[in-house]
Amino acid sequence: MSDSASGSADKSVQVKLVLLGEAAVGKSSVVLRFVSNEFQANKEPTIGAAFLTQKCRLEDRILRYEIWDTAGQERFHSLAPMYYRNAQAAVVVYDVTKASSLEKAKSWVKELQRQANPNIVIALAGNKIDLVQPSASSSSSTSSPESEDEADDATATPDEAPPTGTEPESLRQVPREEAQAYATEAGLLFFETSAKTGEGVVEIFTEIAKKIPIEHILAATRGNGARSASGNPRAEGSQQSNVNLNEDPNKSKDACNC
Amino acid sequence: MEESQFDVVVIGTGLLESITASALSKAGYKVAHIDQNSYYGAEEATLSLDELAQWIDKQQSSDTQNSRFKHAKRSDTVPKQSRQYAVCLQPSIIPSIGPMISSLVASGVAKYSGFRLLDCLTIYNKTGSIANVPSSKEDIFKSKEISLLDKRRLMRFLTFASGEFEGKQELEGKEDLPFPEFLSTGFSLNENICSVISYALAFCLSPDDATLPALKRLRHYLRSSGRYGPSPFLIGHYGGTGDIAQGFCRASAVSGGVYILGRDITGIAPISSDPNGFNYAITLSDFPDTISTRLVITSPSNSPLPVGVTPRQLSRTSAQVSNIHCMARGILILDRPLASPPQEPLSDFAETAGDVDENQTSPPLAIDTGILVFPPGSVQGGSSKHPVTVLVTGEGSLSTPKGKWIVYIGCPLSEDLEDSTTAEDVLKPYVDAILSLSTNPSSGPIDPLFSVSYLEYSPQELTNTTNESTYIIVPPPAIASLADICDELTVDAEATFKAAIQVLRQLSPRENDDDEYPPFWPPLPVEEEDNEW
Repeated sequence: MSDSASGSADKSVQVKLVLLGEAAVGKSSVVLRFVSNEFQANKEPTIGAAFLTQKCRLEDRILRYEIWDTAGQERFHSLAPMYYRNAQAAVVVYDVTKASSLEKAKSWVKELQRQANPNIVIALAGNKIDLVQPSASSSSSTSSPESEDEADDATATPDEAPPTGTEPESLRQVPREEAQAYATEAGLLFFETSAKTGEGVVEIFTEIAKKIPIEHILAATRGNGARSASGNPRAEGSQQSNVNLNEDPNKSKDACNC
Repeated sequence: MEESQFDVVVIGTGLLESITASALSKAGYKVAHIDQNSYYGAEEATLSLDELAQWIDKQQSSDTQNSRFKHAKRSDTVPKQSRQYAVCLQPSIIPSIGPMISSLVASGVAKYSGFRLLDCLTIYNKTGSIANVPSSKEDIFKSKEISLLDKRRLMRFLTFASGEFEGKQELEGKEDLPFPEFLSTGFSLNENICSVISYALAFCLSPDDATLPALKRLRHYLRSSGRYGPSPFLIGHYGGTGDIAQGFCRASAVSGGVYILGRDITGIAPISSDPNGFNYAITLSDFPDTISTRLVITSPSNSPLPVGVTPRQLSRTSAQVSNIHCMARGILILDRPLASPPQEPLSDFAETAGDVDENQTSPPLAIDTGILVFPPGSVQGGSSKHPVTVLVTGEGSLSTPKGKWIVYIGCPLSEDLEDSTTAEDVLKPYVDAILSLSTNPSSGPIDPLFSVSYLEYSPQELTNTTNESTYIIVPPPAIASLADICDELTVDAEATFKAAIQVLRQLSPRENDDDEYPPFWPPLPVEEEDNEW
């Protein structure tokens, strides 16, 4: 907790990661699994967290993910440009039991390609695979599949609980091959995940970490955006002028000072 | 409550409304925040160049007698990389101490945005050159150019201005005196120094600005310096004001606020004696549900008033100058930088000629992010009554691509203009002066890549109002200096928040309501801190 927030004090590199995807696909649950290794069935719609952070070790480097949730602002297409800005990574989540959620994911990928940093690393995650696996493989779970009904978002779309007792694979509406083919074509990392069992979740973040151009980010952190490595004699001074309001010693009780 | 039922509907995503929405969401009220525009920030929005061009075109097509924005003009061709620019309709700098900074930190919104210190604060003089404005007593002390006598007078004044001057003998009976007059008669300061203090340190908008409020502003700025660095002022990355508004909207959403942008309001109908206590039914275009709410809070620009509604009009908590009702604004995009002055502060204001400046041989540095003040009468053909304040933001404030600069020009006006006079006419002498301040004067004046200009009028308060209404109109935005605007909007947002809480408590009392108002910003919840490690 004593690290400087700037991320330059040690070898840790700060990476902004944004979450996107249709309501109730389990965006927050995937993050909660990654960050706290927890799963909450019937989770409330996303309220309360501005962003979560988690370190990820990669060889000699430590990535510090700053994970932004949509806070529901995607619901009426009202995500602020601030959300995409400077994101070095994005996880676009869909629900393997809901074909329309992949279509929505594709439109988010387009939006990212339009709005976000051109070097952004995008991962596509087909969540809720525990629902389409034979129950033996999700042995850690004690609850019936109804508990998978993660009310992850306030969106109106009613998310019917999958019927119990049916053959799990029959719930699958998005074949793995189809999503994989799309991801390959669009240049995305691809995973199938279960926030409930944890399957595939950590892998998303480690694979993203491997693909992030760390040297580029380090240079950017040092020079206030690699783009300011200019002949401008003031460039050096310019980036020293950046301030972190939360690092004000007089205000330490309000500050995050993480 | 049902999904389409709310305690409060806030209309408009300007900074004031966004701060208010955020505070109400954090206080536990169910808030829907609506804007007919598809972008955040309303009249304080931060826009790309394409969006700015569209905004100008929209103002042109709706320019009528009572428009808030008149005579909008722009260059025909929008430069490339439009999306890499963040141009703000309400440029601002933020004092390091004050309501805006406190709210940014206490609400957690500071974490969403970036900030930097202003590089330089400069002033233009009649000879066509610019000089740094000393921002501290140390600067003045070090200056070789100010005479010893003037230094002593200036120090005496600054000691007075940074202290508890209320009730001091120097001020007695002079609170309403025009500030420059107070400076020259009370402290025997010379005309140039009076001008620097009035317009570049206290950011007066006219020589008629009253002494007491000017002194309070100046004290505020003097105390702000040193908190984050030598400059008292911060500037928000990515276009400042509009970006900060977005941040408050996100904070509101994180606390459960619902955001609906890009939909026209097709109707606001008062509901009488609804069993559930809802007072308005709001319909939006392209939106299936009718939204019910107990309380409406709206920006003044959302008109007309719904039939059968007598609103409550909130007044500004403070207004810098009352006789200024219009601002001529210009925005230039440059691909060559403006030169910053040599390091010696105030050198051009010296009464005695100084030594040869050793900096003269090295090429002038470029201003990345800075302020240039034109005092009244400093430019031929310009205003003899009002100062013009110029803000330059470049790559360092992350608002432009590399090698490009945004120049904001604001000229307050108190005289009525001829109908045919445009902002472009008013600003022309200043634009010419600015464009000649290149780092490489031998290649001639800078040719802007893009320019826009418009007149911004301050909307009037409504008069037919009642304090008992559940339809609240926020205070109309004042014409304020760019150092003051964010703090003013924050103070007015807090007043709006309190007014809303008062009404909401009457409409739907909650168990935990007590006599106290809830704090504007409750302590940040633990989960907003860094989570696991």
